[in-house]
Amino acid sequence: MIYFDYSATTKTDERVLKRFNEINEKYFFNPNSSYNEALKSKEIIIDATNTLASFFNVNPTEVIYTSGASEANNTAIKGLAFNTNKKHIITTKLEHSSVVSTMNYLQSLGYKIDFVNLKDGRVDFDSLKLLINEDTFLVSVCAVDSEMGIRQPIEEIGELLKNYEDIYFHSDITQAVGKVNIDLTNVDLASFSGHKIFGFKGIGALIKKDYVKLIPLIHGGKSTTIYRSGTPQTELIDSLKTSIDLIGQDIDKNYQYVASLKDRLIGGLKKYQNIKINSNKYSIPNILNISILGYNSNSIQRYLASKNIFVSTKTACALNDDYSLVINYIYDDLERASSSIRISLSYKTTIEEVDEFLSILDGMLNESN
Amino acid sequence: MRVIKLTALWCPSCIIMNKIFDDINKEYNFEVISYDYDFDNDEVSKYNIGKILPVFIFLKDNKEVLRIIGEKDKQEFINLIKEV
Repeated sequence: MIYFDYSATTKTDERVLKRFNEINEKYFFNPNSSYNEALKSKEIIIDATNTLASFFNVNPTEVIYTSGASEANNTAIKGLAFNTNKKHIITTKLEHSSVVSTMNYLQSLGYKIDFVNLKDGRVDFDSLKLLINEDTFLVSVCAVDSEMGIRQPIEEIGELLKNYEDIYFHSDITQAVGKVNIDLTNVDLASFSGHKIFGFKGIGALIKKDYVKLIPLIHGGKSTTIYRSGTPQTELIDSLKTSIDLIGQDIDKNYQYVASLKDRLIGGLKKYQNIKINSNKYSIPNILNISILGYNSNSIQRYLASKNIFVSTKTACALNDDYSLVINYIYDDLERASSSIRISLSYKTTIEEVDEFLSILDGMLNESN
Repeated sequence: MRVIKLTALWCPSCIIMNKIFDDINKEYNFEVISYDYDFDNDEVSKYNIGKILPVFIFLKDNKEVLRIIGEKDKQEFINLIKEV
C-alpha cells in the first residue's frame, strides 16, 4: 500500500500505541479521585500539559483538551461568539468544514460572516483591513489549509489584529502542527488534533490564551480546565504528548526531506502537459494538489485505489466528489477543479513510494491513450 | 413567488448567498422555504439539484420559473429575478 493521504489522517505510531497501553495499564484511574494512584494519573496529565505548553510556547493553563480539532474550532468560535455583544466575524474560504459550518450556524443566529479575499491563495491584507469594523470580534484563518496546503501568514495577521481592540484571532493549525514551525505569539486561539500527527482520533486541543474569555460548549463536572467538562482522558492526553515528542523534535529535518520528495514528484509530473500543479510556492511540502486534465478526480482516485495507492479528492460546496470549489475559486478554471487530487506526504513517505506512484500514474495515462 | 432555498452548513458560498438573498428579499418579500442538504435529505432529493450549492428555485403557481445556482453578486441575482 502507498498511503498518500496523510492530511486526512495518519496511522497511530507504534510508540504512541505502546505508551497508551502502558498508561492505561498503570494509570487508568480517574485523575479527579483523591487516592495516590489517581493522583499519579493526574501527574501524567500535568506532565503532558507542560510538554504541550512548552512546545507551543504557551502557559499550561492555556491548553484545553478536546475530542479533536472540530470540537476545538467549535469551542473557540461559538465560545467567543456567545460571550460578546458583537456580531461580525471574518474568515476564509479555505477553512475546514468544522469552521465553515460553525460560521453558517452563527449566521443563522444573526451573526454577520465575511470572507476575506485571497491573493495567490493567501489572505489579502488590504481586503482584511477593509472588512474589519466596530462590530468585528473574531478573525479565523487556518495556518495551512487542507486542500492546497497553502501556509497563511498567521504571525502577520495576528500582528495586524493587535492594532484593533477586542478582535480575537483564531487559527486552525491542524494541518501545520509538526510540519512547520508555528509561532503563536500573536494568535489568541489555536486548534489541532492528534490523529494528524500519528496520534489517536478522539483527542485534540484548543490553545486559548489566558486573557481570552469564552463560554464552554460542554458544561459539567471538573476536568483539566473549566472550558471543557468531562472526565480527563489521561491515556489520550498522554498520547498527544507522545505524538508531539515524536514529531516535534525533527520538524526542520523532516520539512527538508518531505520537500525533496515533493520536488521529486513535481519533477516526475512535469513531462505531462495535461498535469497542472495547483499547490503554489506558499504550499507546505506535505501537500501537493494537482489536476490531471481530461480525467475526473473520482476516476483518478478510483484507479489509484485499485493499485493500492490512496489519495484524496477534496470538495467544498460540491455535491459530488469530483469538483473542487477551492481550486475553481483560486484558478477560476472548472476543468482544473473537476480533475484535481490531493497527494499528501509525510516524513514516513519513502522515495520508492514516490517513484512507484509516478510509475503507476504513467501507466494510467498510457492506458487511456 | 415562492423560493425554495437549498443550502448546506459546510458550504462557504451558502453563507455568502444567504446574506445576499436576505438583503434582496427585504424588497421582494418572497415566501421562502429553506432546506438543508444534510438535514432535509428527503425534501432536497425532490429537486434534482446538480453539483453545486446553494440552489434557489423560484416557483410561480407551483411551477419552477427560475433556478439560481452557486455564487452570484447582488446585481446579477436581481437581474435574473427581474427576467421572470
